[in-house]
Amino acid sequence: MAVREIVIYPDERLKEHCKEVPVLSEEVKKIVQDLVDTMDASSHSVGIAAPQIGELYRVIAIDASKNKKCENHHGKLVLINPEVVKWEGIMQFREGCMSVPDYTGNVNRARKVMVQYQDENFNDKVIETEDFEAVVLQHEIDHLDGILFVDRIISKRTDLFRRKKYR
Amino acid sequence: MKDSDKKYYALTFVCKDRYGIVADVSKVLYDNGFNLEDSSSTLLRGFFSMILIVSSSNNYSEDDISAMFSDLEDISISVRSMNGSDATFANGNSYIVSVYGSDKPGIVHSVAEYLRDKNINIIDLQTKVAGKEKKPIYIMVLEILVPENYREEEWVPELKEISENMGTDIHIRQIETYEF
Repeated sequence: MAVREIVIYPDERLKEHCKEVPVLSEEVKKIVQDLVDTMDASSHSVGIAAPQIGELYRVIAIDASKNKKCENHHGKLVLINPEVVKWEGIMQFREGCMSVPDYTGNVNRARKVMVQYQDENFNDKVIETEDFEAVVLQHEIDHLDGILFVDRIISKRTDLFRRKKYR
Repeated sequence: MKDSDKKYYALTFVCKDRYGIVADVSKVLYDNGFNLEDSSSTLLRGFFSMILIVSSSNNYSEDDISAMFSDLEDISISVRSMNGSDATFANGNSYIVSVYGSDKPGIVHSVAEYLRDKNINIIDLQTKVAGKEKKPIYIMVLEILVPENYREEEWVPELKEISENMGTDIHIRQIETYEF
């Protein structure tokens, strides 16, 4: 049981490519536990990725049920070696990140994703999900490749006008 | 530099679009030791327009700052010194409101006046005239902050009615921001 400190950008660990988890070692079990504890400790955190607590392994935890407006979700999940294997549709979402405080921006995400992963007991799993939970998954999986939402911002402002040439 | 020692200035620049406006302006700011605290710049009808909040540890007059840009003759500039950073963190629920239809006078004014009467704050506003020259379409996109204690029934129907009376279309959607 340990609530860990959240790594804040420009800490370079947030820009690293994280390692695959080959076996469910004691070290990985502890990381899983700390991830879940740290997410649970923050009242508004609906997802967290291992590099956000300084562990460069492909592990994330999500809990879309903490968003009261989110009706369709899978509750609290631990995903080891998660990979998006199928996606469809695009939706825009305004995101922020615990590791990039006080900044939000509009990001395009797939509306629906299918994700393959191993659960906390290292059993192979697949889930298909959409809307809010799909966005959380994509945001957290991005962390495992050193991608922050800032890398995906389309426009800080409402991105509606097609740019027109006046010259 | 402690925050309390910083002086803040609001600068605006407007210039017929050309290469190097941002480079020219930012060079003067950099050479004079200013920090860019917040800014928004965009191309409007062939004019590049910049609004910058800058800070400095020096206490300059507005004229001092204008004079720093005197070599940039094609750029209009205005300078205003600010009290503190005047930074406030706004509270409320964000909504994007799009109002669009055939061009006619008073679209922005009618909507803005209603929002003022309701104490709803506009935090971003963009307008464009689009469409064919003979049949122009006016498009306005607003981001507003609605006080948290408002129910949608208290303002959405009235705003829709204002739009209907103008013969424009309106779309209102809430923007939810989540920190992951």
